[in-house]
Amino acid sequence: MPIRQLPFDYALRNLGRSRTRLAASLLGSMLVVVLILASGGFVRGMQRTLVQAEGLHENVILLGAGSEEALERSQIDAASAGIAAASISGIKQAGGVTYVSPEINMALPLRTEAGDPVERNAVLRGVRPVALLVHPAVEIVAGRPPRPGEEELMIGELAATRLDLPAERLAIGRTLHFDNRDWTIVGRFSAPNTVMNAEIWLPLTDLQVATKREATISSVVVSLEGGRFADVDLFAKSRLDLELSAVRESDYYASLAAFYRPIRVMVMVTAVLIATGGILGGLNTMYAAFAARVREVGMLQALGYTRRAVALSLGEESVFVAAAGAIIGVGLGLLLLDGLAVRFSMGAFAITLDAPVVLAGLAGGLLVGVVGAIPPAIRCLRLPITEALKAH
Amino acid sequence: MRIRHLASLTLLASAGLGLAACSGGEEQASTAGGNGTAATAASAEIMLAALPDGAVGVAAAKPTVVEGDAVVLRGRIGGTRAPMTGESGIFLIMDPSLSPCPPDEGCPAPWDYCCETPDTKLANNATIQLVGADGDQLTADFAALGLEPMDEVVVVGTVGPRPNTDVLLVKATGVHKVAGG
Repeated sequence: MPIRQLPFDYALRNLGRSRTRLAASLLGSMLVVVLILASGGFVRGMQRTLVQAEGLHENVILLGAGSEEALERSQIDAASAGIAAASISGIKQAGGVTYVSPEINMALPLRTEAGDPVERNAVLRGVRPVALLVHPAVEIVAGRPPRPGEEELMIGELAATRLDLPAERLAIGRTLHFDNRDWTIVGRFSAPNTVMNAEIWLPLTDLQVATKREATISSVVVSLEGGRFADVDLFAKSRLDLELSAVRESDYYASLAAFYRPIRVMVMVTAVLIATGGILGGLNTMYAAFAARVREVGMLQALGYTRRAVALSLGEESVFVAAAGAIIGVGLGLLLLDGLAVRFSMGAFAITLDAPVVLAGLAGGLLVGVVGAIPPAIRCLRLPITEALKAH
Repeated sequence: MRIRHLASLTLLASAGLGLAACSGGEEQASTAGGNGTAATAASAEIMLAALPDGAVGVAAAKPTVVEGDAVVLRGRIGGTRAPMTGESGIFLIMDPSLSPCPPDEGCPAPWDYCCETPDTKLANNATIQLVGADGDQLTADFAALGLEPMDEVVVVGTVGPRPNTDVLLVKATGVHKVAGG
């Protein structure tokens, strides 16, 4: 037998009875959503940057045996790149260019100018022009690549965040100071959702001279086409004189992502705790709202509306307010948080409010509405009708 | 009526955002997948039941053998922290006369030989690549074949390219496990 429902208008009109309470409920739901978006976007941005799923080619990294977990510690013979190009079959080639990129990866302190007392830790990558082919995620968005011997640099979009400098300080034409020289920024590149986005790139030979390591490099990145990882691994394991190890680029960054997993877990746990606090806050507001209406609820039951119909109406109020707060929260989150750069030890990443994060935020907001209504509604409806009608 | 419209709009907006969240922002799958043709897996037949005759240690063979020579090589699986790669069907061996590093040396693993100098390691190591009868590279489930680091083995195969005397690659068609590590 269908139950007699209270009109939806009834639930909505009740929202306007106390504007303060309405504002508090809206704010509570909104805050929960914003916090979920912030933490979810943080975790998502860090994960996407570290895993680099979007930026990866069919690349294999040749690095020093024993340095498989940190490219910055790797040192291999600079001749390894040429030997690898000649020895490994199935390397991608286009336009006469073999996709083998010798690189130096290192963290180096630098200053904004010679007299600046503050040293900032930058992540530098010494490359040859072939690096732009081997790393297709990297796109030059302004200026041009740096030329060897000219003391020129190219910076990533998030390099300013990494260095804790305003973006305009790293505009094209400005300089940075290291190795007792000023280096001119001649270009800017974008490599979204990769650790490269926070790096500073310069010619390989210039970095070799600056760091006095003309005979060694950090790694050789090889793009495969038709070749297999096994071919590169065979090269690394047969040329034991070069002391190389072969790692898929995806596996290398996956291992780094695993290293930061405890941080992501901590952020999510914090978000859950805060969201729980938000739900309890919403619950408290609902308790106050419903407690003042015990008599009204008794009257509705006396008129013939079942407990279930009344509970449904109370739930409609709560969910509607929560939904409105959730929408405002999502709007604020997208406006203020999406793309916000965050610095961490490996560089920087951007908070990413993609579909799963937005969905989680909305779901969290609606949960505030649903869960926040249940205990107060139960409390209201528990009383017998006669006692409810006598309540103050 | 105005309230009903507002309510409808709000709920529609929530649903719309939810649907947009569901449909948009699809993740790209990792692009670092397989490439090239798949290799055949080494079968248990590659493991030889009987000890092959005429086995020599890596240190004795390395200075003299040339590409194309048939060899029977004896060694202990090890030489780096990860001396075996199943996906490539490759493992490294060290001359059996070279003892693994004692625990107090602090090596990540006893088969790492981190206590030895690079020159000593180069003089005593070799790379073993499992190949089929047609010479094509095989993949290997070393655990299923019963091989692990520190195992002493004798391999039968052919010497591969030797760009210099430090490099000894043997394309092995048979492996005999002498003793476990």
